[in-house]
Amino acid sequence: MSDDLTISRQKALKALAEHLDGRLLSNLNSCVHCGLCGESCQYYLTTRDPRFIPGRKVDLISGLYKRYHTVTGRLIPRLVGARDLDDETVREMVDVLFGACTMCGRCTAHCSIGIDIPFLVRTARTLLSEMDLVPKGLRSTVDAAIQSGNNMAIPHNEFVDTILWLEEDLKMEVNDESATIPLDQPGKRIMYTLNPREPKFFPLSISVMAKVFYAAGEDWTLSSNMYDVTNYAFYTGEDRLAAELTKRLVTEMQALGSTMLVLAECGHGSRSIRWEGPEWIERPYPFEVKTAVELLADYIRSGRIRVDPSKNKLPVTLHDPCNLVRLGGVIEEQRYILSHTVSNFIEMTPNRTNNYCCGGGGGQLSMSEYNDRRLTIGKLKADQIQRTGAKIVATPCHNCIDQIMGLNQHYGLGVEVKTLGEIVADALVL
Amino acid sequence: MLYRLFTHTKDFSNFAEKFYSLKLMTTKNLHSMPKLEIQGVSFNVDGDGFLQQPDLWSEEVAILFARHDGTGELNEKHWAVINFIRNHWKETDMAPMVRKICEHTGLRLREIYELFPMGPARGACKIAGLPKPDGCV
Repeated sequence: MSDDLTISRQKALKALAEHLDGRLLSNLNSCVHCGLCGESCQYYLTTRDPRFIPGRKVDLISGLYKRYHTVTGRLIPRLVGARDLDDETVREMVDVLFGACTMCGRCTAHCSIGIDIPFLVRTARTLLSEMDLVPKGLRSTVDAAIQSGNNMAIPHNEFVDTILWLEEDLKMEVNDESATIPLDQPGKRIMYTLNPREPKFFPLSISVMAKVFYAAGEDWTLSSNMYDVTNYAFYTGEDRLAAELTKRLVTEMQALGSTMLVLAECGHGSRSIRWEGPEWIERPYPFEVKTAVELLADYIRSGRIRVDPSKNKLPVTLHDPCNLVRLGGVIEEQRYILSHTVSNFIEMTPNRTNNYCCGGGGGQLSMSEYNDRRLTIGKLKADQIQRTGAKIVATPCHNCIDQIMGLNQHYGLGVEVKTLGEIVADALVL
Repeated sequence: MLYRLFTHTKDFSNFAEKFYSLKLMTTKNLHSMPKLEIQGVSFNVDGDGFLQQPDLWSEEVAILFARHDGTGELNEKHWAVINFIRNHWKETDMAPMVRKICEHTGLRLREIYELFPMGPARGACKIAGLPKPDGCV
């Protein structure tokens, strides 16, 4: 390691060295520069800026690996594409790997080798975190979660008050004084989670899930101590913090003794908790994990709730959140739900695992610095939506919802954006 | 609402003065910040259009921001929400929960979204001059 590097850069290189396992090495050493990824990437397709080609992003981090971990990289750096961790490299890493990647994984789906590019981007973000270079909004979102227990720093009493307020509303909505939104109740089958933006600003999606649970006669509870389904440390690449947030959920599940953890409609949260979490805490969960989408599909399939598609007459299209669909494997359940709850469902093209990101993934929504790019790359999504002629966009991810609401205003789409829970609740026959 | 504009014209010019002198003082730090220009007045904002220096907020700023983001002309209901958010933020350094906005203004939840098409965060909080809240908003 060079002595002329600052301490923070030495820390970053130390982190790179620690992460060099078989998985990382094979991903770092496999790019053949075929360029197919360029045509799959939203940033490149909408800007034609060559710096945004995913293969170039791979080169950024593999250049560091070559420079500090291979003989040829040390001796003939220019010939093998090795890069010093200098000011220019650091600047480009921040700009391109935080500011121009939603980690949507579409490049990997199109890669001729199958390189896990979002994994490399996340690893690079780990190095940038070591150098304290995480963009401000993303940093404070992670810090809020770690310090307060939820990523919007909602005080405990305000959360409880909001749930009680929603419970009153539910009683009126279903005209039943015994209807409840159970809070901190031990021994329930399900512990349900929330994205903090729901209690803070958009509580309708909590109300509709409570209504569906009521209709299904579900045995469920919310926790007031740990309800946050998000894990933004996934986006900063900080495994230690990601593990801490995961552990809190596991601890709360065990304290309440629920047997199934149900994840609110949240793309990265579903992926983090379901697929990455056990890796971070280095042990399997002692309970079942299910996404709200799968649970809703189960209810309809088993006849536990009755729904009438004629109650949702406006044309509906579906946006596939990358982390839930391409990277999470929940693909057909949402279509099953829509086929039973709306009378006119129109697929956007491309869809399923080849879908375009909304443009707000990868933590982009929390990084104001790159707002213009976020709206620029969202053009592809806006066009997709417009081509369907749909009046409602359904999507099982609060982050996608916020981005699509932004696109709706920016591009004048004139659509309504809804969670699947809202669609199901509207179709409920009580 | 027009009377507000007139009664505050003086404040507004003060605001502009304060704003520009501050801008001059800190040109070095701010030169790369995005600028939002509405009807000839320019604001230092973050990339999402949230006011960079929330202290420079005034009712005129709210009026301009609302015109700019498609909220349109502000009526009494808008002002009730904006003033409550603003005061809550001054007292607690936090944006209020939407429940509190409803409770204190007497508005129904649905009305909040109708009044502010961009929602409570990117709409109401931005117009009220708050910094951008963390999280998926």
